[in-house]
Amino acid sequence: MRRFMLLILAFAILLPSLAQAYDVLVLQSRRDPAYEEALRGFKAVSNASQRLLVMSDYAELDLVRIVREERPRLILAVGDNALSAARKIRQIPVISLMALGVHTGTSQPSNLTGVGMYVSPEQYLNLFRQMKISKVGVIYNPVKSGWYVREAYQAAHRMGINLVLREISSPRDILSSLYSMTGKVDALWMLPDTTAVTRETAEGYFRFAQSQSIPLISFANAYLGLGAAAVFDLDRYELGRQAAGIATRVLDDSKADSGPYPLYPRKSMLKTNPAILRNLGIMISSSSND
Amino acid sequence: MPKPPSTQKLFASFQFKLFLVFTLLTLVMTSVLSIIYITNQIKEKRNHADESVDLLSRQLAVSVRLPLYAENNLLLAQIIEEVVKTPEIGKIVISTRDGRVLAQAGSLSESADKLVKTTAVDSNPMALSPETAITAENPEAAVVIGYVRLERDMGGLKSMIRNMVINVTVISLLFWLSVTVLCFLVLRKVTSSFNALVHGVEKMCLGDYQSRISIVSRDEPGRVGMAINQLAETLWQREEENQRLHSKLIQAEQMARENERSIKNLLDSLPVGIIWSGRDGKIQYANNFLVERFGLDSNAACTAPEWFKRVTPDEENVRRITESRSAVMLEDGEDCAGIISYEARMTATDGSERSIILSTRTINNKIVDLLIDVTDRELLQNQLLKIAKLESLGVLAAGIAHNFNNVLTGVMGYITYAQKFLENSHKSFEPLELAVSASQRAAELAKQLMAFARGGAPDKKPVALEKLVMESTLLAVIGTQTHHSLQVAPQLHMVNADASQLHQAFSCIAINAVQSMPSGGRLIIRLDNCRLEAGNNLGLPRGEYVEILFEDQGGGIPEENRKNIFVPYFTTKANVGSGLGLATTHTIISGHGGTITFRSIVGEGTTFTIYLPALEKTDNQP
Repeated sequence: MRRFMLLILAFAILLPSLAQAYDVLVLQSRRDPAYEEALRGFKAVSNASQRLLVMSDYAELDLVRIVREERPRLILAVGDNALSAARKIRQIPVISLMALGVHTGTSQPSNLTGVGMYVSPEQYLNLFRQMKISKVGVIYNPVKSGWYVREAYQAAHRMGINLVLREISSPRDILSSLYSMTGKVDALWMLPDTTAVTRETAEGYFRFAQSQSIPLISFANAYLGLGAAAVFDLDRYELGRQAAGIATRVLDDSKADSGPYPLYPRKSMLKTNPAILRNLGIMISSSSND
Repeated sequence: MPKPPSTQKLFASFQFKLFLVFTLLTLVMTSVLSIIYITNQIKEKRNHADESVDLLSRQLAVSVRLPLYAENNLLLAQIIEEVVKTPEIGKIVISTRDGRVLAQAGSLSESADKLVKTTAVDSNPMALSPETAITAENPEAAVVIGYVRLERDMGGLKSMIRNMVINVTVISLLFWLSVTVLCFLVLRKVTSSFNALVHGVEKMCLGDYQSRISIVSRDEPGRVGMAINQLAETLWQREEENQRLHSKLIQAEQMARENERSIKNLLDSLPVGIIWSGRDGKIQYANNFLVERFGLDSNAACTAPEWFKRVTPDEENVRRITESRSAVMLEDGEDCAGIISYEARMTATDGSERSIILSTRTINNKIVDLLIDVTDRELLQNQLLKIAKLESLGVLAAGIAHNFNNVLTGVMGYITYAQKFLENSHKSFEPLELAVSASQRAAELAKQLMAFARGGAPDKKPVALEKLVMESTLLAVIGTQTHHSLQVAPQLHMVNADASQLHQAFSCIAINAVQSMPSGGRLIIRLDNCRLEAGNNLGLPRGEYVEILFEDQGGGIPEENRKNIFVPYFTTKANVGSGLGLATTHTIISGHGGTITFRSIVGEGTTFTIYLPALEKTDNQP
C-alpha cells in the first residue's frame, strides 16, 4: 500500500513536468473545422510535440503564465484571436496561421511569423489580365492592407493594370467609396481586409458589381454564391503544411523565421462563377469551378 | 286568440316541421358559413394588408440596408420617397439602431386607423465577414443595424370590408331564399306519400279497418303503407273475430244467467228445501220452499246451525242435526262423497210440525243441506193405509153383511111365514111384527154395511155441483141456528158423478158441521175450479178439478181424533151417529176419483175440502 501511494505521488509530481515537455503550443481561437483542417496539415509535416489550447474553451486564458510554466519552444497561433493573444509573448517564436489581422499598423514583433491569408497579388493581376481588365477598384484600410496594396500596385503597374484605390478607415465609408468608383473601374478586387469587407458592407460590393456589370474578384469560396465572378480560395491543409515547415525551421534554429511576414500561401485555387462570367461575357480558364 | 284548426294542423304537420327544420338549418348554416367567410375574408384582408406592409417593409429594409449602414440620409430619403407613393402607405421612418431618425416620408394623423409595421434592418446574413468566409461553415447571425417603420392607412380596408360584408350578406340571403323555395317544392313532393300514409292511418284510428292507404310510391313510406294495409286487414279480421267471440261471450253469459235463473227457478220450484252455506255456516242461498214453508230468508244473517236450532223444537233433533252436519264438514275440503241423511221434525211458519228428511253434503267447498218434507207423504201413506184398512174392513163388512143378510132373509122369511099362521090378534103377532121390524133394521144396517164395503158403483152423469151442494146444505141447516153461505166461482166446472151419492156425502159433511156448532154459527161453502199438477200432495192425477170447501166454526177436531175420522164406526157422537158417515163420504169421493182432506184448529173450526175431477168439456157441453 505504501508503495502504491509513493507511485501515485511520483506520478503527481512528474506528470506536470511531463506535460511541460512539448515543443509547440497550439493556441487555437475556437473550435472550427477550418482551423482543424489547417492543423491537420501542420501535424502532417511537423512531428514536434504539441499541446492544443482552444481559447473558446476557457473564460480567461493566461497565456503568459502557461508559456512561463510550460516553456514551449514555439506557439502556433491559429486564428485572429489566438494571434492577438500570442502577440503578448515575446520570448518565444509565434507562428500565425489562418489569421487575417497579421498587420496591426504597428511594427511587427520579431518573434512573429506565419502564413498570411493574402494570395500573392500577381495571381490576381494575372487573372485581371486574362480577363482583359485594365482598371480595378480596390478598397482597403491602409493600416491593415497597405503593405499588400503597395505590392499589388507595383505589380499592377508592371502589368499595365491600373488599380483604382480607395482608402477607408471605417466600414461606413465603403459605400461611398464604391459609389465613387462608378464608371471608373472594370472590375472590383475584394481584399481580405476586415475594414474594407464587413458583414454589413460585403453586400455593397456585390450590388455595385452587379449594378456596374463588372466582375468582382474575391478571396473566399463563400463569395462565389453571393456574386463574385471568381475567387482565389486557399487550401487550409496546405497552409498548415506550410506553417509546419516554418515551425520546423524555427525549432531547428530556435528563432523566428527571418523571411518576409507573412508568407504568402504556397497554394491557392482559382474558382469561378460561370454564370456570372457568362453574363459578363468573360471567359477565363480556371483550375476548378464551383 | 286560439289558432284556427287548419293552422294548428299545418304547424303540427310533418311536412311543415321538416320544412321548418330544414329552413332553419339552412339559415343557420348559411349564417355560420357567411360569418366564417366574412371573418376569414376580414382576416385575410387584414393579413394581406399586414403581409403587404410587412413585405414592403422587408423589401425596404433590404433596400436601405447599405444606405442605412452608411447613414446616407439623402439616398435613404430618395428611396423612401418612392416607396411612400405606394397606395395606402402613409408614412415611412428609417432610424438607426439607437433610434436616431435618418429619413422620414409621409404623414398620418395619430387618430387615423393605421397599421404600423416596424422591421429591423439586419446585416445581410448571407454576407460574410472575411473571417467567416475563410473559416466558419455556418454564417454568423445577422446584426440589426437599424429600423424601418411603415404606417399603412386602414380606412380603405374598412370600407372594403364593409362592402364585402354587405355583398356576402345579400348573396347569402338570396341563397337561403332560393334554397328555402326549392326545399318547399321538394318536400311537398317527397312528403306526399307521408300524407297518404297519415290520412290512411287516421281513418284506421277511427276504427275503419277496411279503409286502405293508397300507395303512391315504392319508397319507405309506400312500404310502410303496404305494411299498415296488411296490418289493417289483420286487425279487421281480428275485430270481426273479436265481435263474434264477444257475441258468443254475451250469449254464453246470458245463457249462464238464464241457466242460473232456471236453476234458481228450478230450485225454487222444487218441493224440497235447499240451503247452501259456507264452511263458516253463513247461509248463502235458501230456495223458496224454505222461505215459504219455514220462513227462512237467504239474506238472513244467521248461520245454518242457528236456523236449524230455531226451527227444530226437539233438542235431541238439534244435537243429531249438528253432529251430522259437523261430520260432513270434517271432510278436507273435497266434495263429500257420502250423503248423510237423517230424519228430523221442524216447525213450519204456520206452526205445524213437519217431518223432514235432512241430507247434508259438501259441493265445491259449500255445505248443501237438502230438506225433504215428507209430512204429506206420511199423511198420504197413512191415508192409503187407512184406505187399505177400510178396504179390508169393507171386504170383511161385505162378507159379514152378505152372510148376515142371508141369515136375516131367512129369519124374516120364517117370521113372516109364522105370522101367516097367526091371527093379527094373536098375542105373538105383535112380537113377531117387532121382530120383523128389527130384522128390517138389521137388514138396513147390512145394506149400509154392504154399501160402505162396495161403495156402490156410482151412476155417473154430468152434475152441476152448485145446486147439489145447495140442496145438501139446506137439508142439514134447516131448523138449526147455523147460517150458511155459498160462494161459487164463475164458470164452475161440472163433474161426472152420481148425484145421489154426492148428495149423501155433502149432506154428511154439512150435518157434521152443523152438529159441531150446537149454539149456532156460520157454515161457509166454497166451490172453485182448480188445477192440480202431477205429483201433487193429494195423490191425484194431473188435471182440472172442482174444489168444494166446507168451513165451519165449530170446536174443531182434537188432535188425537184426527187420524180416525174416516175410520168406520168411529164417532164422538155415539148417541146420534153410527160412525159410518165420514167413512161413507170418503168411499164415495174416492169412488168418484177424488179425495177429501180436512184441516181443523181446536176452538176455531174445521174445514173439509173435497176435490172432484172436473168433467172434460166437449163441444156439446156448455
